[in-house]
Amino acid sequence: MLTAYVPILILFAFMVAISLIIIVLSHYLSSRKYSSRERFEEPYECGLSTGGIKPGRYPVKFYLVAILFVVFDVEAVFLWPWAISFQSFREMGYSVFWYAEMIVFLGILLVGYVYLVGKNAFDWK
Amino acid sequence: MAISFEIVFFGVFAGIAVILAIMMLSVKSPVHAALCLVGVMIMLAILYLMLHAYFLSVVQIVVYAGAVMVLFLFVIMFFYSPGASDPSRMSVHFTHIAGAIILAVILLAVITGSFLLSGNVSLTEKPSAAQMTDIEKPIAETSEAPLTEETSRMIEKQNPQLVGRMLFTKYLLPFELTSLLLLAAMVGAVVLARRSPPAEAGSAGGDGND
Amino acid sequence: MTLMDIVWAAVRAAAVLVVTLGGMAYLTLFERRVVGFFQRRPGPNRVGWQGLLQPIADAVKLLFKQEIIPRNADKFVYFLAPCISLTAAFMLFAVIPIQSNFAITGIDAQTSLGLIEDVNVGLIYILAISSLGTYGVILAGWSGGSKYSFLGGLRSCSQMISYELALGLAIIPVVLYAGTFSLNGIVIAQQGFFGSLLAKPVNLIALIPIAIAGVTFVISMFAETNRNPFDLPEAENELVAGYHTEYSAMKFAMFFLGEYVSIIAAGALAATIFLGGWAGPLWFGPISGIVWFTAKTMFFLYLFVWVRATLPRFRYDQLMKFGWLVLLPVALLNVILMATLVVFGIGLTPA
Repeated sequence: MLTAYVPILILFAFMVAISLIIIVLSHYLSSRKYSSRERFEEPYECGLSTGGIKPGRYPVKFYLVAILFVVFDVEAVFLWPWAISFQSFREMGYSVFWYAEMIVFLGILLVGYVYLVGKNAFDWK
Repeated sequence: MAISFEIVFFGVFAGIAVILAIMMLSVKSPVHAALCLVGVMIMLAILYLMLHAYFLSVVQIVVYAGAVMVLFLFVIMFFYSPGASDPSRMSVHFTHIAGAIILAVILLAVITGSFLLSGNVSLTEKPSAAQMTDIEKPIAETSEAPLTEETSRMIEKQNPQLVGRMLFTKYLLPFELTSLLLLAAMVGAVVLARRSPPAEAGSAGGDGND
Repeated sequence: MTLMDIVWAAVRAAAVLVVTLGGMAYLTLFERRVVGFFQRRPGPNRVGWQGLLQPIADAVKLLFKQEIIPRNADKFVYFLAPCISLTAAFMLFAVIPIQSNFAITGIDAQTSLGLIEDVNVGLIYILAISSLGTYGVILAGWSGGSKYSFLGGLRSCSQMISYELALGLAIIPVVLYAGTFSLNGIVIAQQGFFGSLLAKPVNLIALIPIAIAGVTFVISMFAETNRNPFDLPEAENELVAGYHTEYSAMKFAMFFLGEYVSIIAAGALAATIFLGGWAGPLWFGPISGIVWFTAKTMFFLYLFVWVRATLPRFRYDQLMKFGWLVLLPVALLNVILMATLVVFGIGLTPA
């Protein structure tokens, strides 16, 4: 079974090779007619000069979305083994037990979700 | 043949993991350090894979590399523009190396000590049938001592199912408590990030501060 | 595992790469021609017969374009980001079954002819790889050192992670039905729906949550691949070109490649998970698996282009609201619906 994953490794090696080839090839083949090197290498802006990214203040929503993503991702991670173990629970006659435990889990999370909606956590304004 | 093959692969991936971990501590840019940590997470996933823990391995990537590290990167990128390095990141000093070696020795001592004290009991002895629930029995039966080719194939093929079966029977209470933990995380995130919803004049449209 | 096995695996990996690259090149032409058709204009038709050499001309042009590296870019990350995008997109193809082994060799109906035989965590592998694809976008946005690309990267990344949740939940009804994460196992379990080798009894009620999951999956895939109507990262009128504003020449082309390859992967995945992959109602010899698989994938690719030509773009707050307040709860309730059905014994094929 472990050997089944070797082709993935080979594909990955191919992809690394292709990425390197593309980058090196494009570096050597690219046109070198810089009209004004200075201006070309500045960050893109329509005619103004810009300082690029300024560190510091950015909307906190991006952070909120990322942290909520982690929470719900962990929830989904629990749902996967739950979903796949249904057949074996059914064979043992425990299918209602199987159902109930996830309903409890999701019920507690639903409280959290309702709280988030109530606090306008998903309101991007 | 099979064993040497695995040892070579283990050496390569564990080596990469250690190198990346050291780089994570030593590189100057915080974003590079975070990327090294992502690399460590992926290497750990490959090591799990080599231990035949298939499900755990992909979940490691989904949760740690795919979610937690994205959150880290988000936060780091808000504070460091490209090319900036963190002045508070220390350069590696003799005392740090010495401290690391001492900690490694202590860790090794604790691990070997715990093995010696427990006398390897937990590794070899199976719980008696009376202590097991109905649901655990089939798993215990399949993991009885000499593994035949067929049962080991079955266990490997059924790996996610076995994880699910253990998680939702033996470890049911920790699983249900996790939901409370996640609930706390949701509330915490909102409390931290949404202290005063109306007072956000500076970011009209949600697009930065310019 | 012998040397022969490794060589054979390498040959298959190379075949997957070549076919996907070719498919991607002609998908760009296909898209431009179809959008042209929708807008009553010819689209590119000058280079070669019906414009068939256009993708090659584009590739050569991009290869010789001037390479611009922004002065305040983080060089290492700047080069790494397009590689991640491209690699993650191609790695998705590793677990997609293309053809039943049964059709070729007459034995072993459980394995399939894709890149790899069968992986018992195939579906989760797909989600893991697509979550790694997020790094290409966010790193590209940051490393260019421009605020347009940074904001584009942040937006794109938030969007991708938001819709990834719905993606992760949309697969669960299928897993409940098929009882496996293996993509080939899912195809085999669905053969009752879409006909073929081993007909199984079908319960039509089970199709309801699976159909809802399919719609959720496809919508999330539109967002994951940054396609219209979710192409906010590339909202030209707001952010120039989004996260790859600072990229030029072949490095820009790598993002482009990655995007189109992941569109093909999205189509192939939707076809495999929800439309029965290589299984088809009509079985005509060994190549029929590949024919059905390609036809179903083409259907989804056409859908991608069709939607692009039809729908306007979302506003960003609408997009996030739709993801978190509509798609996520629908996917979650759908999981509960499917679980309720299977617990009461409805909609599950006899094991």
